[in-house]
Amino acid sequence: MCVRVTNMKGVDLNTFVFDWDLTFAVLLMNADGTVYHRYGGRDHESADGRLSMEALTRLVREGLETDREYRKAPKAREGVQKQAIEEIPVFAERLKKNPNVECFHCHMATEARREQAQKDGRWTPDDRWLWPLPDKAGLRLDPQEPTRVTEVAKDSPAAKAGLQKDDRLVSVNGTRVRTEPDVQWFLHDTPPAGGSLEVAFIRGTGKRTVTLALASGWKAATPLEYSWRPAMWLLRPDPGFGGDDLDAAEKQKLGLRADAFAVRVNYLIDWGDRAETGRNARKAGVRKGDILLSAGGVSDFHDHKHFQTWFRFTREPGKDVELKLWRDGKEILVSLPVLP
Amino acid sequence: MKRALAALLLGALGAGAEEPDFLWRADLDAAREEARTAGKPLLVVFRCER
Repeated sequence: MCVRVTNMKGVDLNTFVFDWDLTFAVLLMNADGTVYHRYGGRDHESADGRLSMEALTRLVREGLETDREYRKAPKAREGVQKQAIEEIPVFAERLKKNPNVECFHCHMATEARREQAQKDGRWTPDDRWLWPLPDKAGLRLDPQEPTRVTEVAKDSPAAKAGLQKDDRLVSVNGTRVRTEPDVQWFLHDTPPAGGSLEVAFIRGTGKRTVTLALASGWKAATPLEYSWRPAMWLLRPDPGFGGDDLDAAEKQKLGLRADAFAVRVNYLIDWGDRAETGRNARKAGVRKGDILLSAGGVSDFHDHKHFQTWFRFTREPGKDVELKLWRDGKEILVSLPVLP
Repeated sequence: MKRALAALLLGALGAGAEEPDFLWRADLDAAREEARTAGKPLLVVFRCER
């Protein structure tokens, strides 16, 4: 039975659990709410580099085997309470003010839950780490055949556990895995402070099980790795301004390399609870139309999202950040105080 | 996406396999109930245009 969902309105967030920052995700599941397998996933390099029709085909075919196995001994899901996005208090409050919002995007679920947790005092900066890729444990999986290990990073947790190239993952903590997001599910559930996962795999003709030990801090992503996530925009500190990357022709006019970082400032925040950050940027000397060339001495940002994430991850409130801007045919320097 | 997945699923399952219903539903709750009654698994695709 196939369902295509393009609006998260009414969708139970405690049942349909996946990386809501994604624009494409697949769940293969039982009608009782038990998710057999997940598919989808991306990284900062591209939206679809980790996807393949071959892998999805394989999942659909092999996933039916999981369904047959599950039906032999279904497990009741107890104590799972339904919560749709519109039932999260901070989101419900926003809907009251703006009831005309028709489409609830997937990423809004991540944001609403985070906002609610922040409001309730339950959120810590470590909670920002979402759905870590197996790369965080030192594992690269084959996009075509996602249970096959294609690379094990030297000295990584996976290497220390003894995993090797061409091993084929079978299960994590006793649950069958068939896709990269299946593995991510267990990583997502492992705290940033560390933990361990029992990983079963096939090498040659033999099945083995090892313990994958994840040390404190394992979950942290770099600004670049995190930069594609819509969830990034909610983090603070916020520079208070932003804009779009210049295209190659625009950079050429300025005498910049085609791969140079250059962002045209097209807004200073003057709305909502961040208006102060926009006023702060204006007071410091940032103007709409300026071209941002570097920040804090860093000019090798991949794009404006990378800059925005870097600012949020690495800048300390109370300190200044030097911005290099291009305005009226010359470079100027602006010292921007970082607000909390 | 819809056509690609339908074609993909047909190709993936092959003759004689347990074929899911290729009529794509938009009502998640109704499809879930139907799958429960029919004893079939659900394939849910979330596609967000933004």
